[in-house]
Amino acid sequence: MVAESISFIRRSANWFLASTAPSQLAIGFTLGMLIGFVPKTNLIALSLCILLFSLRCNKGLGLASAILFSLAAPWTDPFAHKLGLMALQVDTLQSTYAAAFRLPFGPWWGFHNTVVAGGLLLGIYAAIPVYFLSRIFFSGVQSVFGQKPGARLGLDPERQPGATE
Amino acid sequence: MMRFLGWQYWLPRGLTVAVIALAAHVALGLVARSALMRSMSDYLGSQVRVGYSRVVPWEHRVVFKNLQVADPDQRNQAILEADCCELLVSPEPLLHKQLVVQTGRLTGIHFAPLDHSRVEKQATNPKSASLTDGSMGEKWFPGYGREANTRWLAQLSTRLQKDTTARLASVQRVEAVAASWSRQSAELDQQSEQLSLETKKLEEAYAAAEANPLRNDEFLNAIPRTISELQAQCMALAKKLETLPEKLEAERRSVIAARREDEQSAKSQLLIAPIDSQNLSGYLLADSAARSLDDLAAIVQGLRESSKNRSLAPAAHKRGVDVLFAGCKPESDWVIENLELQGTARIAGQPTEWQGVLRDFSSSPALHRKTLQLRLRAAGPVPLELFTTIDRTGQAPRDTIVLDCQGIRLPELALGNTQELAVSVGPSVGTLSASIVVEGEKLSGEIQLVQRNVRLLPTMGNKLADEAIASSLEESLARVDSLATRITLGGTLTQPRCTVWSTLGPAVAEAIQHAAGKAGNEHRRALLVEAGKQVDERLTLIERQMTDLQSSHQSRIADLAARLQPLASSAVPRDRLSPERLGRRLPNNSLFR
Repeated sequence: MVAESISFIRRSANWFLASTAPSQLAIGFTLGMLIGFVPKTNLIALSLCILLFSLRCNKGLGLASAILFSLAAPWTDPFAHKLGLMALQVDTLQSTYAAAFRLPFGPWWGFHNTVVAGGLLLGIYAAIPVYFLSRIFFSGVQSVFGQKPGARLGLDPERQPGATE
Repeated sequence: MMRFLGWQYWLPRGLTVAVIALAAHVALGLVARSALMRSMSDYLGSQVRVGYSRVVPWEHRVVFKNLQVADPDQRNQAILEADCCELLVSPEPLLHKQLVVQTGRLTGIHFAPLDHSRVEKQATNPKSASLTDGSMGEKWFPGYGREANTRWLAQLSTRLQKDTTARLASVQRVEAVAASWSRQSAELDQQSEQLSLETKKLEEAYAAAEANPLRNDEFLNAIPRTISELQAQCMALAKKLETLPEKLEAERRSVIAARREDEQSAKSQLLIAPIDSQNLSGYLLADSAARSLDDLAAIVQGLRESSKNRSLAPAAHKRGVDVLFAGCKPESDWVIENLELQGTARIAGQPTEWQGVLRDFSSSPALHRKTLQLRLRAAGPVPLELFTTIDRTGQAPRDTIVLDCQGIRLPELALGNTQELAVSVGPSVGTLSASIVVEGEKLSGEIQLVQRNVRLLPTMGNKLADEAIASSLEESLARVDSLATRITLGGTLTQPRCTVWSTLGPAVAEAIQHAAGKAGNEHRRALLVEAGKQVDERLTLIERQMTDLQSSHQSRIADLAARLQPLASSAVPRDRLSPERLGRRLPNNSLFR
């Protein structure tokens, strides 16, 4: 019974983590966090999604992270709104913003929205520490759950020469 | 290089592109359908359903089919349906997240038939019912004279009451004569009775005295005087009886003189002040007009409320605030610059095809800074032209309605109050023109209606439901062939002050005056005949009573006289010795003196 449970946990962890390096997991997680903070009905969110699917990172973890951080958005939105409002009210940048806004597709980007701008800034600000922390975390997790029997003996196919990390 | 020319290279890629294009086509259609349904539902406050949608990007064209606007109260029923909506979208504003429809065409519009059960339900609604008692008319036409007309009709009813003969001078005089005669008769009866009683007593006393003359010496001595007194009373009574015919004749002459006053008195009794014809117009038309005006005001207020709610209500799904940068102008989310309309409707009960144009219809009229214009034109049996503007660009909202409708078939109308005076206007052909401006809360404008080939059928209330009046009124109103009505709007939407002018009021007033005059004359004649009959009957009765009284009393007096006569002849004064007589002969110092 215990063995079956452990096997199930191992399989689940592998589904998310297997065949993926900690850095790729961390990139996926960080991009997902960025997507989660930003409202979705604009080109910024769409670009982030395209970026997520374009980069070599863990998409599953990225989507899960995006969903997780989207659920947390009601708590982060007030702060994002204040941050975005502050950023968008910088006097010296008004003409730049206006010029960008007047460009074709300018309003579609949605950067004139306080929560979009604030969420993006918040995400960018948090991205670097989150990336490093998550990388450490996933390395630890992988070391616990990711090793397969026989890996130390050089029998793990992902450790074979030519396998991508 | 050769591999680029082989079908193995092109076919899968071509198929992929085709699938992507097809998916994009379907997705664009779905997105357009969803966007239309959401934005129009938000705008109209009612669910909008779209059956089919197609986007043709290279033609900048969007096509929607089977559009329905759901009834806000009953979501499964549509209040408006359109077969097809074709929009030509300007591509450039799309890059700036704005939808601008340069031209469009909405065809096959038809409105759902009116749910009569709901209308009846609304009519039986206590709130609505309370407004049918004249309060709605009072709201729109303050001081329109409902009370004055009700008073006038009540006055007419009172004047034409049947039982007013008692007020005539001759009847009053004859009644006084009858009362006087009754008193006089009673007095004579009493006197006669008294005489009879006294005579009887005298006879009895005389008989008793005769039996013992010595004891009743004094009585016997006084009896001639008593008899002469009684005889004098009998004579006086007889004289009174003799003068009775003369008195009655004098009374009869006074009654005849009073009868001459009756004519004047009856005339004055039936004299009715002329009814105010424009008050009567208000009385007849105010309630009916007020209902239509109230509906119009409700529509205008509803439009304004929904517009205000749209501008005030924050978007529920919107996160954050859109910042407007310096030098950027806020724009309306969507604008329809020109939309041709075509549909069918039932106007005045007739199916009519109509066309129209809607201009500068936008999600935020204040941002669009142009006035919404709607022009509708219907040809055929009911030529109609409607021009409406909804201006939300200024501080105060401004709405105008200009309507011109020729040859409209108007249904039967019931005007007034059936309990007092009502006029039923039969189906007619009319011309309706209206020019209404609502600026802020201020209401102004004019509505004119000219009806031809009208047939007026009056109905008088219970008290005045007299055949003579009804027939005369009907006859007079049958000559009226056309009606003109003008309503001048004023005041505000919440406190309107409108006035109504119509040829209906003067026509009905003239007819009712004529009918009342005719009925009054007939009534007066009947009144005088009735009074004469009553007077004659009373006088004849009095005369007969007097003759009877005279004859009965005369015979009684004769009887009394006959009874007193023997007494008078037998009761001579007695010459007997009496202490006095004897005393006079005796010496003064006699002991017997």
